[in-house]
Amino acid sequence: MSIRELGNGIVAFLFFFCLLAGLSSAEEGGKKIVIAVSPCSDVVLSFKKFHPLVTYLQAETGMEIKLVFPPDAAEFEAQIKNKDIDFAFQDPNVYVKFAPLYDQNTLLKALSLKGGVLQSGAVVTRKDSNIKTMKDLVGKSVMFGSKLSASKWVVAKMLFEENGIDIDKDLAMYANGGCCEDILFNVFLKAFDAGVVCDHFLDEHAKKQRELGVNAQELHVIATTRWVPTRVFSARKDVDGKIVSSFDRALLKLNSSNPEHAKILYSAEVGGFQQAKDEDYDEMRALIGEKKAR
Amino acid sequence: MGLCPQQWLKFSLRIKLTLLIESLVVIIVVVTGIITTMREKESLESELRKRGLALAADVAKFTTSPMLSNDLPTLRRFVNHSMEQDYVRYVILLDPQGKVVMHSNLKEVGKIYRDSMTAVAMKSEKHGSFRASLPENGEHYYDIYTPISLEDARLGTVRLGYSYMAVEKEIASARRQIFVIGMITILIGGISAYLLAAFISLPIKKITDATGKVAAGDLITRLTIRRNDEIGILANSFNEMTENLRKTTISRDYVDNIIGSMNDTLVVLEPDARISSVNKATCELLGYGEEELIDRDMHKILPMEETLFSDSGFQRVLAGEKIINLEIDYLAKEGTRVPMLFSATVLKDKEGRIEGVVGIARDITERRKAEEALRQSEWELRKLSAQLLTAQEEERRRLSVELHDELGQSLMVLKLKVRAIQRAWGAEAGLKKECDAVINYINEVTENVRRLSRDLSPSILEDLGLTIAVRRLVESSGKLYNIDCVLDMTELDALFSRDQKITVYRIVQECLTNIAKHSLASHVAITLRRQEDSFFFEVKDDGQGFDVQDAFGRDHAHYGLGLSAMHERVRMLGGALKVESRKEQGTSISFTLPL
Repeated sequence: MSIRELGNGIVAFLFFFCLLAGLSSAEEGGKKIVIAVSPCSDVVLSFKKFHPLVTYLQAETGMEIKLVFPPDAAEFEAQIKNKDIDFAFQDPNVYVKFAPLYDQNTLLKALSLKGGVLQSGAVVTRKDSNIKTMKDLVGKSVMFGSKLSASKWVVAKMLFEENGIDIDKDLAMYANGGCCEDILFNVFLKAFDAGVVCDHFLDEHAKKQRELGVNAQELHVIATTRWVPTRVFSARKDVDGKIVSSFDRALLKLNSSNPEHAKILYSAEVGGFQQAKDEDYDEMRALIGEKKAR
Repeated sequence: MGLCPQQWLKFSLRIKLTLLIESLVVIIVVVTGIITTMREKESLESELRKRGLALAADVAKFTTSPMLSNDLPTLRRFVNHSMEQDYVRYVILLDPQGKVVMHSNLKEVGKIYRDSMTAVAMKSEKHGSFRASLPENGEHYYDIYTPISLEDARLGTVRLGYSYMAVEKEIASARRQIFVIGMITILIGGISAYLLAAFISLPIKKITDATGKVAAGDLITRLTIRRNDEIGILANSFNEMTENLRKTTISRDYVDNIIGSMNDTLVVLEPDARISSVNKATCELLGYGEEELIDRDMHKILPMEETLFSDSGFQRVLAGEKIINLEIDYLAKEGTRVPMLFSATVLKDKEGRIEGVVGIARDITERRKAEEALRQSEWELRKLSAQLLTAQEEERRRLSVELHDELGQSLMVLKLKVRAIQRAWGAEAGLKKECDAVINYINEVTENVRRLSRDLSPSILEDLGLTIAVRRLVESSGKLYNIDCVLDMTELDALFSRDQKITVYRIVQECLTNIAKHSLASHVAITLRRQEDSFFFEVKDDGQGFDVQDAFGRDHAHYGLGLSAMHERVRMLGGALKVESRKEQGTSISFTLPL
């Protein structure tokens, strides 16, 4: 091999190396990370809630992030299977359903605003409605949360059943609403006799209540559901591990003691994140299975 | 500005201009401010309604879906969002039955509105608005309504309360701005007005001051205003005018000095015969002050009977007729008359317009006196002359008589004695001849004496009368001087007295003597004729003539007594001697006497 031929080869190698590196970086730099959030039926409200978190993650990971809000389980499943979703922040009942599609080694669980790992739903009525117990809800209208919600739908239904109320038969009507403030607003305006909201909402989301003009003093909780795990942050299985790691690191870094982090967390209605294992949701699996069995 | 005219008049031009300009500025500012505020208000009201309508339209548009799905939280959020807009006081979403679906005041949700505004709003298919005021605080607002529709379906109605406060605030803000800007403008306007007024008035003041100086008599004053506008032109014109005035004044002063120095009186009359100007001499002469004469009728100083300045007379002067050296009388203040030698002419300006009459008169009182004295002296002289001539004639007569009587007789006696001697001693031849010679000589002397006696006092005049005496004189002179004399004479004796006859005779005699001495004439025509009521005398020769002016211009030492005596004799007769003569063309001496 002559020197000329050697030189040509080196140049070609370097050319292809740069090309590959550029493609790689282009591939990585150009890709948007899609995070699906549920259950929230109101896209605008949900965007408002999670946009600070998204902004934080973009800054921490250097990735461009897009939020999506699948309206129902079918859409959620389709998006995951189509690899349209990279990460999902969902209720444990949804996680349990799509767990095989996620990387179960990188799970994170959201903490409640009080730092707990459990949540429940609360049945709320107007104080002047004369509805004091679950049994008073017979013949009344009730607004539940999204069907993707564990606390405001899955275990809420169980609560009604435990109190002898068949929601399909014993209620005047029921509906699946959106976010807790919407459900609360409908109850406040007497559009519905009762609503099921997150257990902390009545006490802790005064600003959101005020935005809608809700006077929480006129409402009260008549019952709460059983406890269920808080929400899960999971990555689709074939998402690049480095990306997943960077997201997990960023989320785990959030600290409610930090005022800036506290704003982000409060907006998303979480108290922080910690690592989780798939086994943490066996109870949920059992509950859903128990329900199916019934 | 509330100033009375008297107060206004006291202000200087600078202050007046400043106040006027400032007033104009204030008026403009106020009017502009009012108009701007009104237009701003209209514009803001329109804009307010538009914004309100736009907001209501947006609410109607975006609440279509939540109204359909009865999504109360979303409706609430729309209402909240709308309430966040400035000046929105309430938002009401009504269903087609008037029930409040959502309200900015949640307490109203579920109520049914049956008021008139709601009724109108619900029936209207287009947007509209009402003006109303909030009951709690009286705040004015627009109640803007617009339908919530989807296709042909009426889903409800949006009513939006839009406060008028926006307009009021903006108007108030605009008014404050306009006020501040107006104050600044007025302030700047005032300063500019003052500067402009000063720019205009300062040179005018300079001109005014300079004019005052000129009026006070300082004609050296000049303006140094260097501007290329009307004021600069005015200043230059002022300087020119002052220079011309100075020259005119110098000329006028010079003329005034001349007029003031005149000894003669000067009176200037207006075309209406009123006195417009008199000089110092006039006042001094007549004893008036100038103010007593100015603007008075000319008959203040002229007697009424003076026809010179009757209407027609004055008009003739105005027409251009000149009066030169006319003797008239002026009336003095104390009533006396002053004789004047008066001349007048019309006074015209440069364009030929009649300005009046200028009359110059000289006091001839002394002259009159002198004339009178001279006349008196003349009279006396003439009287003396007549007396002398009479005395001369008497003396001549006496001498003639003496010559005729005494000398003639003596010569006659002498002749007789010589004859006696001749007869006695005549036999001797020598003696007889001598005696004849002596007798002849005595005859000549006797003849000369007779002639001399005759010349001295022609007795023929007394004996035969003037007519014959003149005829005999002409005949004898003709023969004596060898001159052809032609006499044309009428009967004279009845015309004259004895002394007059002698005078006429002497005149003829003198004429013939002068002709014989000086004229070298060959022919003389003598005319003494009565012509109706006058007597005409003429002696005309064809002699060498003489220079009459020269003859009469000679001083008395060279002036011939003959002509002088003739003048005097003719004057004594009551006539005036007329002498006409030209060189080589003869001489004519004539006079005419009234009978």
